[in-house]
Amino acid sequence: MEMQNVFQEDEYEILLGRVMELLHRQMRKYSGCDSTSVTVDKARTLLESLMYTIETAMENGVSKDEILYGDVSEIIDKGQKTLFEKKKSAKFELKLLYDEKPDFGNIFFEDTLSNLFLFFKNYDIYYQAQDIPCSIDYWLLNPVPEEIKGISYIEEYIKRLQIENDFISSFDKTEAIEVYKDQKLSVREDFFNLCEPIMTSEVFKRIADERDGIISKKKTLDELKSRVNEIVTEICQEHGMTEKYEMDYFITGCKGMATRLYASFESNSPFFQKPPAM
Amino acid sequence: MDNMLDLISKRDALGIERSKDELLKCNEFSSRFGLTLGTEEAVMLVKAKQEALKNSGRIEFGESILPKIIFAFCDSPFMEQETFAETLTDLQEAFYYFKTESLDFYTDDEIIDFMVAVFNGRANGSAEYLIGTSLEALIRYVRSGYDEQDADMAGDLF
Repeated sequence: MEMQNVFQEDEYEILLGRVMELLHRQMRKYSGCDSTSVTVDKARTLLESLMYTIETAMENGVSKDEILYGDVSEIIDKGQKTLFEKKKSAKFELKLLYDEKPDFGNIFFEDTLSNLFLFFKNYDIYYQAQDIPCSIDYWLLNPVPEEIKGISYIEEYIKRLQIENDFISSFDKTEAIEVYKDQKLSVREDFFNLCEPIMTSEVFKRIADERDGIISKKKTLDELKSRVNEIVTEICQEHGMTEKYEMDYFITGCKGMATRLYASFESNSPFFQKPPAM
Repeated sequence: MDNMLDLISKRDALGIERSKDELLKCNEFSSRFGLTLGTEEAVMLVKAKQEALKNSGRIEFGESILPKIIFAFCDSPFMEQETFAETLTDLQEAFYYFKTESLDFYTDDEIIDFMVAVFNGRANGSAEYLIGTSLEALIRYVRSGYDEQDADMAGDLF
């Protein structure tokens, strides 16, 4: 949420005055009344934290008028309370995710899960609410947008990882390992998304059968894109991912696949050529 | 976000009048030691403070550090009316610089106490000595994690 878009110009001026008042209060609290100044970097961090807390409060029912004319301490308290609740529920979700994680022993996946637990230990709701104090190496099929901050980022990351884990778990482990091997991936040591090779393999398998039809009908890239979307939806449904957000997640994650396929068809890649008749 | 910080700094800059009055109020106390600030000197000190804050990458909130510095230094036998404003300018600049450089390890009062002790002690009232030797040593200690019990390491400090 961009504050400048939510408030009109004159309202934004009032907001600025209020934020300044809050920032002074936060700086005083942060320095424990032992200091009359802070570094610009620290002030920026505190300001970002305040703005994120206000945004969170607004997303959870605090109105624009309350922000502009209400009790500022109350607004911050409400925001911090919401952040605390979000943190608690995200930690619970992470525990569930950890208990049901696919067991491939990939070091990047495992390390990221361990680091996510560290987030809850290090997260500072009061002075650095916008920060993500842990390292997240494992990349998702459909990454979390970088403008999402703090606990909201972690919530979204866990939600997306859960979708991917559910998908992977719906495949037989031995089959999945075979797919990784076919793609020359070391399951334990390589840095890759566990879901992507499986989804790619499934889509390519199905589209390979349709190759001749696609080429003879001279389909455009856009047509191929919508066909890939249909196939991804079918795969999701076959594997119990029937919620719209789950299907949308994979459709967005596989956005680049049609372009790669189109290029392969055009270059007559051997991958898609029919095996010679025996 | 940076725009907001800029605006906040600019709004603080508008507080020159308030800060000047705050400084002139200190005359009530410092005049007992024969030290006073004129209006022009007070304005000059406030402007120098803003410059020092900018140079040391800091933002001040609420009260200013200058009254504290005046209060701490005005009973020094080395303070003279002729150089009072000038010395205060040097001291406040050094204060902000070393506060940042010492990674905010010390509180305002701790740095001021240290400055007063050195200024009235071996520096013999030389702000130059204080800034160029003892405060530099203080920073080195903070950054290298010194042992207070080790007399050899303490060097110029204690």
